[in-house]
Amino acid sequence: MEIIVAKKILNANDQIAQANRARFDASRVLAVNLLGSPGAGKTTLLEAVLPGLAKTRKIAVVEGDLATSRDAERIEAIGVPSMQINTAGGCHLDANMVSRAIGTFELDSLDLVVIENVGNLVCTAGFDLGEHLRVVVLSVTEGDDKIEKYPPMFQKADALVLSKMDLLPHTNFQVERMRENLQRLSSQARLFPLSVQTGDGIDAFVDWLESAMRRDRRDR
Amino acid sequence: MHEIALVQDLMDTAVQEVGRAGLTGRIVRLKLSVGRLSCASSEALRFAFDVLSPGTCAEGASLEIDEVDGLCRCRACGSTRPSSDLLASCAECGSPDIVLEGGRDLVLTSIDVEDS
Repeated sequence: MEIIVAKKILNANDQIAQANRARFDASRVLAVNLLGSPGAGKTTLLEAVLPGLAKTRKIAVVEGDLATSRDAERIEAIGVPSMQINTAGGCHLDANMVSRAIGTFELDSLDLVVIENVGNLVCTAGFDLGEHLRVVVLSVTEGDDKIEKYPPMFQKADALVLSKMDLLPHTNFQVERMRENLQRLSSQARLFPLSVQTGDGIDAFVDWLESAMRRDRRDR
Repeated sequence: MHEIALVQDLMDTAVQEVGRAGLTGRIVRLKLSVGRLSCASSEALRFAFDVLSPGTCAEGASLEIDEVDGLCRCRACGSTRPSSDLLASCAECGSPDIVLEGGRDLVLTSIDVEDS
């Protein structure tokens, strides 16, 4: 006997993601999913932008890694509360892990939650965590063909941070080629070339985050 | 990599649906529709199913996978066609201003249960 089902797999994740988003909305918190390869500079970016933002905004960070609490310690060291999730081999964060992690925060007292995903350009793209914005970090040392090779990761990005711009002269990375591909794939995505080492471009990214937080508050 | 988790979810859903239909027989076939933009690989899904199904009521069941494209819509000329190429230009007018919709879902479409 055949049973017609038509049930979406991953539906459980999507439902929990919706619930997470509703919790963020109810507490007027902007949630950002930070994605990119291992070594792209995700944690380093947070170390560069969060101390300034934390002067006027209440922030917490969820850190996802296979093992160690190293990243959470780095975030704690700049005075921002963080919660480490170890996926023990899992290649991505899912909505359920995030749901448990944000349960440890006093959401009502926060303005911004950054969820730093497991370093991975593939699997993390497929899982909604309940975020409002997706920010992908790509370093110039990874090469300018990553958008063409891993399109799902970049398609739903709201912003692309092009990191390690101080190393650009030492690479064959063509920013224009990457910009064109990003435009084709995700015309709404903002591009932020920056260098944490020199500080160039950081302000523009911080301003964008600030305006997203203001917009976020107005909408609710 | 996460196909193991997807197949676990798939099997849980299948067992639930069989129970809901009031059936008790073994599952002999599962039909799955996999979007080409879902980031799930059919080959890895089959492998995960071979690993996870023994000892369950879906042991030995066949897994039929139908891979489906998304729909590419051109914002310049309005034409649509099935596609999974995120970086393609419009086949009609050549505009790069396209939107690709759908093709991301993994859907359990039907379950065949042995008559008991």
